[in-house]
Amino acid sequence: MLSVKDLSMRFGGLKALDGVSFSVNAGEIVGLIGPNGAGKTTVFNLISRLYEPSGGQISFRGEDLLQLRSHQVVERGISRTFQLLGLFPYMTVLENLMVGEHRDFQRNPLAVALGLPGARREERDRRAQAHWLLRLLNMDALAQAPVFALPYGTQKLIELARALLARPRLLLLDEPVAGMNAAEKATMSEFIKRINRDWGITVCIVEHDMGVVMGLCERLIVLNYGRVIAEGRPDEIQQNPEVIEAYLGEEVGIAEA
Amino acid sequence: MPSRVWLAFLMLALVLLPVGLKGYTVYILSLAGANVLAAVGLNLLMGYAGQVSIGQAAFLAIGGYASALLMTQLGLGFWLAFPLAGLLTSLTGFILFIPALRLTAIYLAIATLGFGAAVQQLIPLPYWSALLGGHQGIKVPRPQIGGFVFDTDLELYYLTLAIVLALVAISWNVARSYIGRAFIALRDKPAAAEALGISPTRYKAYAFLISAFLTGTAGALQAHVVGHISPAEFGLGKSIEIFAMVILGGIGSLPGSILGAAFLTFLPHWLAGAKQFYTFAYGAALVLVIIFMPYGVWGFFVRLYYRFPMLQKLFVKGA
Amino acid sequence: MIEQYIVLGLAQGSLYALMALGMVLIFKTTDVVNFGQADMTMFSAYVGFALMVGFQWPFWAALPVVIVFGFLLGIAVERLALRPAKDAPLVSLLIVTLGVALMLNAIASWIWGFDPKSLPYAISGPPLVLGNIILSRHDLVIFTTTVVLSLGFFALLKFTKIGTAMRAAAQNRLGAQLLGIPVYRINMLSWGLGVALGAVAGMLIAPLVFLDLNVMIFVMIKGFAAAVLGGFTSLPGAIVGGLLVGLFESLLIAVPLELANQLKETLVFVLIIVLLAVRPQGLLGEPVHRRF
Repeated sequence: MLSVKDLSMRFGGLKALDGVSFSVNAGEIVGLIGPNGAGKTTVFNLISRLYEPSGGQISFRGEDLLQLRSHQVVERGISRTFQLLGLFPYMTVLENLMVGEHRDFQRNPLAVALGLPGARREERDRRAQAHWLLRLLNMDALAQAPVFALPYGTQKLIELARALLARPRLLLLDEPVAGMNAAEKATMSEFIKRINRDWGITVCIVEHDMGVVMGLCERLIVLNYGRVIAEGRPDEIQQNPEVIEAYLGEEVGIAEA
Repeated sequence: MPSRVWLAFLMLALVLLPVGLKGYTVYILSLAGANVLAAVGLNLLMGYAGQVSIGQAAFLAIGGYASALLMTQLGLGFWLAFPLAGLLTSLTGFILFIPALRLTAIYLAIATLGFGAAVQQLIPLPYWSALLGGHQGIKVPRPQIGGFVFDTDLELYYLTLAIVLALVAISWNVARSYIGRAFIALRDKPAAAEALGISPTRYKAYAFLISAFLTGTAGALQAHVVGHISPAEFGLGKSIEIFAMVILGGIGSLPGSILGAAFLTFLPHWLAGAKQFYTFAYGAALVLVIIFMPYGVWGFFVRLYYRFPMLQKLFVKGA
Repeated sequence: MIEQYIVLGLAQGSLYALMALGMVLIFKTTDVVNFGQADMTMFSAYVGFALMVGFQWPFWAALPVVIVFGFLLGIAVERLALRPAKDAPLVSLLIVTLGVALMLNAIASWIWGFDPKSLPYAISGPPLVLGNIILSRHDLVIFTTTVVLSLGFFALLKFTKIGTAMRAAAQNRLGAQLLGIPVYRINMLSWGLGVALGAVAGMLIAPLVFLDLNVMIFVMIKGFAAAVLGGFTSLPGAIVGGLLVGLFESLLIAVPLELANQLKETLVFVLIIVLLAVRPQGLLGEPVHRRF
């Protein structure tokens, strides 16, 4: 589904990525792991075209992603969340979710400005859709709450909901459970599984929490210093000496999981 | 819907407002209407889309001259010249949109300041003084629709009221739509906004187009109400006045801009009796409002509303 | 002939540079764009006028008093207007500086009236002739003052404890506060120094023009533009920007084309916009990185 070949990225003199290749198959949950600074988030930012790579290729369902602008990526079916919350703090929960539906707003600006019936109907339909998802998450009571006032875990879940409303085939989640307590982590893991199983959405996760990663992912790709050092099933990865080596000195040991 | 009832009350109040007022006060009310459009136009650009402009007076000038010239030179009727003036101004909005693609914050502010200075300097040049009247400016014909000439202060007030209500409704529709949300999204988290499919180029263009359109119609309205237009009215001072209206009203709030525009239009006239204290009082008012209402007049009302549950009962949820 | 225009341009540019330096200093530490810089400069120049014309003081006696006045004025503005408004968003603080400017403008009109005043030059005497360049003594004072003041400022920021504190506050306010740097006092100091710089500029500009209530606004706009051109957070940028704007303006006068002269302001801004389009962070500003 997604194929990354020989991807390189330099920031000034620093090599953040050095010939990274991997692929994501339709229907799976893949984990992208590695110590801090390994280049995981950089991979995500390259896929969402926020950065221009120094070299390599990214293709999605046979299409060259590097031909696209950042805002066109979502139309091809890739949406994402951000490591440090990408929610719009001064909007309500509902408004945030409706921005997630942005690609489904088709009415032209003139019709919107004049308040024509078609535009009003579209706004109503989208709002209903957002409410539907909120009810599914048992968060409908929060619809009108301003986002900045909500607990961190709730915000993380709302950001995921927003990414879902963009109707992705592939969902990129950047540290979805960071900063969550155990109960929140469980809810989030369960929800991600459900998205994958019931809705058929392929998921690629960057995450430090090994418990969550081992429980969720069918396959792991390990990055270190901008290179892929291992790839395989979670149990294989746990035994891999090179991976254990890379994680030595990290506060979250892979063996703990 | 209670909010509709309140809206109806408000309309009625605006219709009855000039009853018993002096002609001059009614004239100032019409000018306040024009300023409301300019403030709302800048608020969409600055408060929503986050693009700071201190050159809005240029759009006022372009709209005003365009509407006047379309009537006098091309013989168009007011009902055609007025919206066309807005559209023409909106096209000139592209001049600012292009630097805005690259520049942010203070750097964009300087570009808009330059645009304002340039337009004010270009208008009185001798090359087109036959058309634009040089420093003296030109006479602007009274609005005329069908056979009816809007000639008295009262007639002009009602024309202004109709136009301002219609255009504020349009702005409100835009602000509350996916377009308004896209503006705010790009302002607060550009990367997240783009990842959700919002094109920065397209929405910055929309912001400048609609802002220039509204400000252009504001300029046209002002010119027709005053009956005269000259470049001296459109200096940096005017741009900053519009800027101050948006800030005092409350940045990012359309009702705030309406209050801010009305307040700053009338303030000089309230202070007119104070002659030599006028400038001082005007300056002191600006400082005091920001100190005591940091989020503008509208932000102050919103805070009061949440502080006193009594008020909330009056308006019911969502008012 | 062209050398003459270059020298005149640099002299004019030095004044823009001083104005820009004051604004950048205030912006760098407090994030506030001081739109009142013009009126604070104007007011300081009027104080100079009162001393030099009213009390017949010589320029060199009046200058230090005016500098001290500017410094105290800046501190007062920070303490009495900006600090009480610290809860407001940053764009609103711009309106506060504007409000202060209007109040100063009013006070100046009460004291000195609306008639333009003329101030004596810092040094009078016949102009100096160097080859084919004619340089007035006043221009020489402008150059010297600008050089001395800018060097003094860099030394202050680089080599003194207070300068280090100011740079720390400019880079990371919260961090500075945690380190125990008294941020409020730093803010006050920046305002004091920024307005004092404007006061020096005012003393030097006033003899070149007829001093009235609004004459400084044009200098401030050029200074602001110059500061932005230089990068707005860079002190050397402010100097370079100021000199460039002055130079460009002067060379436009040299162009034997009426239109170039009529559109002087416009062309200066066109140049700035073109330069910014090429380098959006200004000449010496730090590039803005996308953050997520």
